[in-house]
Amino acid sequence: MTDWIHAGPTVLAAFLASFVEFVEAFTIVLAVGTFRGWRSALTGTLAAVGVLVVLVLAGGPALERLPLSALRFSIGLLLLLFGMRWLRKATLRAGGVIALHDESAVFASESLLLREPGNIIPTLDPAGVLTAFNGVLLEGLEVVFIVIAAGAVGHTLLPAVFGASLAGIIVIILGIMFRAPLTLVPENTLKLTVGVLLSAFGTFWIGEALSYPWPGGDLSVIGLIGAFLGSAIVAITVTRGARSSRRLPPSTPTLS
Amino acid sequence: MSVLGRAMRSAIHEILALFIDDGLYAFAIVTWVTFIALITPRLRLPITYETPVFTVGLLAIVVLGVRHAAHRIMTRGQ
Repeated sequence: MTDWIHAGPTVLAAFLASFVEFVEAFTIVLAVGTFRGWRSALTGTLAAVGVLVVLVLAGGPALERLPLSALRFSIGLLLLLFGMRWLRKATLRAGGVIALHDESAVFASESLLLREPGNIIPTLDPAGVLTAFNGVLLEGLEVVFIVIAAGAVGHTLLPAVFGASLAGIIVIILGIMFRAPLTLVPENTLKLTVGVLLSAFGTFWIGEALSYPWPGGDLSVIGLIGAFLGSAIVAITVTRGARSSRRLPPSTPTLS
Repeated sequence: MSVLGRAMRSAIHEILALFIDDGLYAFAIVTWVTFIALITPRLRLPITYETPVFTVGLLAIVVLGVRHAAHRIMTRGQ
C-alpha cells in the first residue's frame, strides 16, 4: 500500500514532466535533422542522452547513501523551488498574463538559425551536433532532477525511471509518425500538473524531515496535491480578474 | 576567461535557472522554510499546528507570488 502511494505520484510526475521536456527537446532535434542532417541531429542527441544516463546512474545511488533526514530536507527544498517555479509560470500562462509556449514558433526560430544556403550537409556538422546536444542536455537535466529527486527520497527510483522512459518512447513514436513539432500537446496543463505534484512532494518531504505529524500519514500527499491545486486555481482567478479589469489584449505565444 | 571557465559558468547558470527564475519568489520560499525549520520549534506551538502553518504559508507564497508577478508584468506592459 505504502509503496503504491509513493510510486504512483512519482511515476505520474516523472511521466508528465518528462513528456513536456521530451516534446521541447524533440522540436530542437527535428529542426537540426531537417536543416543540418539527421546524422548530426542523432549524434548530438545520443551524446546528450549518454551524459544524462551517467548522471542518473551516478546521482541516484549516491543520494540514497546520504542521511535520510538531511536528504529529505534538501531534496524537499529543491523540489519546492523547482515545482513552485513551474506552478507560478503555468499559473501566469493560464491567467493570460504571459503567453503560452509555442513549439511551432520554437521550430521556426531554431530553423532560422540553422538554415544555410545549399543542400543538407551529408556528413557530421559541428553546429548541428552541438545544437542537438545542448537542446537535449538542457531539457534532459530537468527530467534527471525530477527522476532523481522524486525517486531517490521515496526509494522509487525505478518507477520514476519507468515514467520518464515511457514518456520518451511515446514522444519519439509520435515524432516519427508526424515528423512535425508536437503543437497539440497541452504543455501548460502538464506543467501546472507537474508543478502541483512536485510542490506537494517537496512540502511532504520537508515535513517528514522536521518530524511533523502528517494527518493520515502518507495519504496526506493527496491532500497537499489538492491544496496546491486549489491555490493555483485561486491565483489563476485573481490574475484573470486583474487582467479583465485592465482590459489587456491576449498575450501572443512565446519561445520560452 | 578560458573556454572551460565560460562553459562552467554557463552550466552553473543553467542549473540555477532550473530552480530560480524570480529571485524574490525563490527568496520567499527559502525564507519560509528556514523560518519553519529554525524558528517555529522555539515558539513551542502545539504540534497539531505545525503542519497546517507550514503548508498554508507555502500556499500563500504561491498566490501572492503569482499576484505580484502578474501586477509587475501588466504594469510594465501598459
